[in-house]
Amino acid sequence: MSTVSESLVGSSRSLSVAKRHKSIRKNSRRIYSAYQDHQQDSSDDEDKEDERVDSNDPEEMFQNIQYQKEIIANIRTRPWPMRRKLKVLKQAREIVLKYEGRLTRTRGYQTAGADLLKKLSRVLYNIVVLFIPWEVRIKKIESHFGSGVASYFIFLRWLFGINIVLTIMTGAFIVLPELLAGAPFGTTRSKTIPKEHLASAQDLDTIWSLGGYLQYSVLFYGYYGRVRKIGSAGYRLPLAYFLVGMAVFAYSFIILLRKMAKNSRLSLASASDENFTFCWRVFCAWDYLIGNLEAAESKGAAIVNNIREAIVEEQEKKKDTSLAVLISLRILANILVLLSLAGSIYIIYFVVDRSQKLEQEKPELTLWEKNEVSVVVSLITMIAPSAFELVAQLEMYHPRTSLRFQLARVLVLYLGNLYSLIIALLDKVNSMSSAVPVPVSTGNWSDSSSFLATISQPEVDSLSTLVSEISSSEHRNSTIATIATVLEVANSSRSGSGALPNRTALFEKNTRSQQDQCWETYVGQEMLKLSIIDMIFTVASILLIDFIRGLVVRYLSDCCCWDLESKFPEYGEFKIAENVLHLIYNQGMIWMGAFFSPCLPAFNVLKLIGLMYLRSWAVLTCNVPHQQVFRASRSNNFYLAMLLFMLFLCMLPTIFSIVRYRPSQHCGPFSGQEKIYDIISETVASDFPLWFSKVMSYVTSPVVVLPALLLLFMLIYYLQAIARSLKFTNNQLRMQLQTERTDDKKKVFQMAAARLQAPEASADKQLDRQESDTTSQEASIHTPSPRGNGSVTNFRSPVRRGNSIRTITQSASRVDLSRGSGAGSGRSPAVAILPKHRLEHIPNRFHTL
Amino acid sequence: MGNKQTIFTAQQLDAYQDCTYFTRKEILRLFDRYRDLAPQLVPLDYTSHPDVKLPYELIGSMPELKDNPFRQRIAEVFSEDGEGNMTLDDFLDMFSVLSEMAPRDLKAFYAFKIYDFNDDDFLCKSDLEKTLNKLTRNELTEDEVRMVCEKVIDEADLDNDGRLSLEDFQQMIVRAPDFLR
Repeated sequence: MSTVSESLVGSSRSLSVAKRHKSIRKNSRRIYSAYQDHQQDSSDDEDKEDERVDSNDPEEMFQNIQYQKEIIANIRTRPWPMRRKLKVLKQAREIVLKYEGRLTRTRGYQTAGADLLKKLSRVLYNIVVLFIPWEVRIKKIESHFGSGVASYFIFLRWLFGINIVLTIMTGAFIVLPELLAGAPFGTTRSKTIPKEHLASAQDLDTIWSLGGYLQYSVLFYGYYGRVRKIGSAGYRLPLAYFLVGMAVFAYSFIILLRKMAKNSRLSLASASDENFTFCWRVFCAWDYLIGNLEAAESKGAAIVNNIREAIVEEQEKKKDTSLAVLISLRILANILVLLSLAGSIYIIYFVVDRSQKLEQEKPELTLWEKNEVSVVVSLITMIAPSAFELVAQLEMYHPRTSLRFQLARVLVLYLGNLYSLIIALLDKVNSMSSAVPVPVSTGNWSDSSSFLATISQPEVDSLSTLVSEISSSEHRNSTIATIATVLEVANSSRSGSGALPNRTALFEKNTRSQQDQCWETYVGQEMLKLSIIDMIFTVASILLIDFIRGLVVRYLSDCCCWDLESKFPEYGEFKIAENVLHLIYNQGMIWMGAFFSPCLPAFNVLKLIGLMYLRSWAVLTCNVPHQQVFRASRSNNFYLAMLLFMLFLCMLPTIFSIVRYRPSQHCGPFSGQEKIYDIISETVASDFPLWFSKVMSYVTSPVVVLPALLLLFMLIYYLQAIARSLKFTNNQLRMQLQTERTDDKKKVFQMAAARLQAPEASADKQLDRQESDTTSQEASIHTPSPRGNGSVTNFRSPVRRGNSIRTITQSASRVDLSRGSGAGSGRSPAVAILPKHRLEHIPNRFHTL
Repeated sequence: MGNKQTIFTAQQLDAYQDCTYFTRKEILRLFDRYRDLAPQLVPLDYTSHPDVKLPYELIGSMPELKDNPFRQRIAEVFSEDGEGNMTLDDFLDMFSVLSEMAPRDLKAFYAFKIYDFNDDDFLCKSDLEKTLNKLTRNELTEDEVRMVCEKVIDEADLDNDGRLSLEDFQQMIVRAPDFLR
């Protein structure tokens, strides 16, 4: 092929531009059939001579230039050798340059502008590529371990990107305004450390459990002020807090769905129900990115296993083994898994409960007691998957199925962990918020007394301020009654009558703890703690399970009685699926806690960066690729679907707690409100014009909402119906294609017979025409995919061009096509000779193998 | 953009960028890789289109290809002389097609060529056997190989001529979930 094309290019060099133009067109027509019909190149090139399309018709010239530009744009998709591509590119550019000047000036400017734009975009692209983080690192891993392992890191990088955006959102709209314009540290009650904690506020112990200074910082919900407008510009922090909290979820949803949609567009596989098991296993088995001997060996072994499995499966497809032992084993395994799931959930619940009790009973907690919840949760997430893996060996499923089972179980475990944790926490929240009005029957009495207690010196001077403060605070109950009772209480406490001081003393403790116990902060603390402990455990497991093990295996294998490298400890495998799941779990934690701890995404960014470096280092130094690779190419939506599932489930508790619970009364941006989302209606009512709130009330009334919902359902149904019909058409087209192929074949047989009987040119031509028609039909059916790039222009281009060329290209294409399809069917004698001829060269070529 | 590199002219680089899926930096890096294979053979100045070819032995020893069972075929398919000896152009071409940005169809076309050991434009049984043996390093028995070949042809051969044409191959491979390389 190469020599022929060289001669083609060489000959065309001497000819005129028009000739070049034509040869280019011929080339482009051959895009995908280039390989098949190159034998005819020389003869074709000789017969298409001498008509010069040097016409001065501007329209035609413009068409020509457009066409050349098309070539320039698509040249990289052509399967030609580089030399030819360069040549064609140069010619096309020359033509464009030469003729462009002759066109009208506006067109010239347009094209110049387009050129400039193209150049700019190219420069921009060159720059943007520089800023993609870890590109080289990932490529290196990819070259060592194949695309499966690399997909983990690409996923990690993608999550990193999401977290960056989340961080920017929370940082720019919540944290920074609070830091810049909010009340400074120590000015309000929710921003000062209580006196009795002040002494221990800087202890490492306290800091470690996120208490002390950390608890009263921008890290957590409780720190944010409740002032409706802060700063000179009047920034509405509470509103921003709520909106950003929701926007975090909204953004995550949108970006996830977009990615999934893009992926499913990329992978055509979703629609196909055909089964090419063996083909794929043979032709797509090798990972062309592997460039490491060990990886190559294990990959080779994996492929052999894979093919053997396929054979065995094929042989045993019919006979369904219904062994009682197997079934009972599987039942047993499932029971075990269920038990361990239930056990883990119970343990978490128990631990949370215990820690609450300890907190209430003991004044000082040890380090272990403070962290046991997160440690236990992390331990379970570490150990249980391995246990599941052991159990899965009982089941004797096909590796792929067992991997899926494993993934599903681990996902359920992670979700169960998170959920039992959050439910236990919410339980505590429940008890916290219900503890307030319990002791006395009237709610405002206890409230006011709590005020008394917190102010802690109920002197006469402060009485007036006290009263004003209470009246300004937004309790539902009538303020007059409150003031009356307060006065009463204050009086009685001043007079020092027997009963009440005792009570206030009792409340003192209660309310003190209540003030600390800002439940939102508490939840945020727990999530952040969990995230930190999880990070520590991940690092430890990488170091211990992978690194130390790798060291031991490598250096002790000489002085040990069995082969450490291949028998028992071996090297750690990089388990893609489990690691990806862990990432998903980690992200779930972030989503769950982001509302209560705005800095959580920022922390996660740091965590992901660290994880990236540590993991990639560990993978490169001490891991071997997994034998049973779960094929996760980039266009696989499996992980994304799990992530979406996780996002949805992690959003629920936050939404639930926002809807169900009353925000803490003494801390946070929403203190004093009945519900967190009241901020919206409040803003609408007070800050927007009247008509807007009216409109809003109409819009949110059932009269509008119900029809809107109905409309949505109808839309969904409609889209689904369309999708179904499209699928149907798809199937129809496929069937048509099949039948046409068989038709085509019949015709070819006829043609061969005709040739044998009467080798006249006339009959031949007729058949040729017939055939070319069918092929063109076929091609037009055949090319909804980007493959059509060349071939579509091929069939359409004659229509647009001037007459003189048109006839020639048509005839040429006919010849071309007939030969191409002749070669395709393999019945045409002229081509059939060729393989034999070539076969002679093969042996010496393969000798070097 | 214009800084110290003098290996290519700006036009050359531009043309290469048009013809491949690479950025300017990547092209220069690929050139470095190419040159590292044989520093004494490859000049540092490509502005005058020197005619340099690296023998297959050097190309095949690259880490990217070293462990690939099809390395010889890949080199043969992408080299202009069909023997695996590559010019810089061939080299860039190869990496462009194997890069992740290249579309499936282009890859499918070249994959077909790579698997088509005897260059007869069809994947027949002998091609399949060779592919399998290379892939599995002759670990399968003959019966197994024969069976797999039969299954493959059975699955993908739409026109029932007992071998796979380019169309059959593309039809099959474009649907493969992990044909991305």
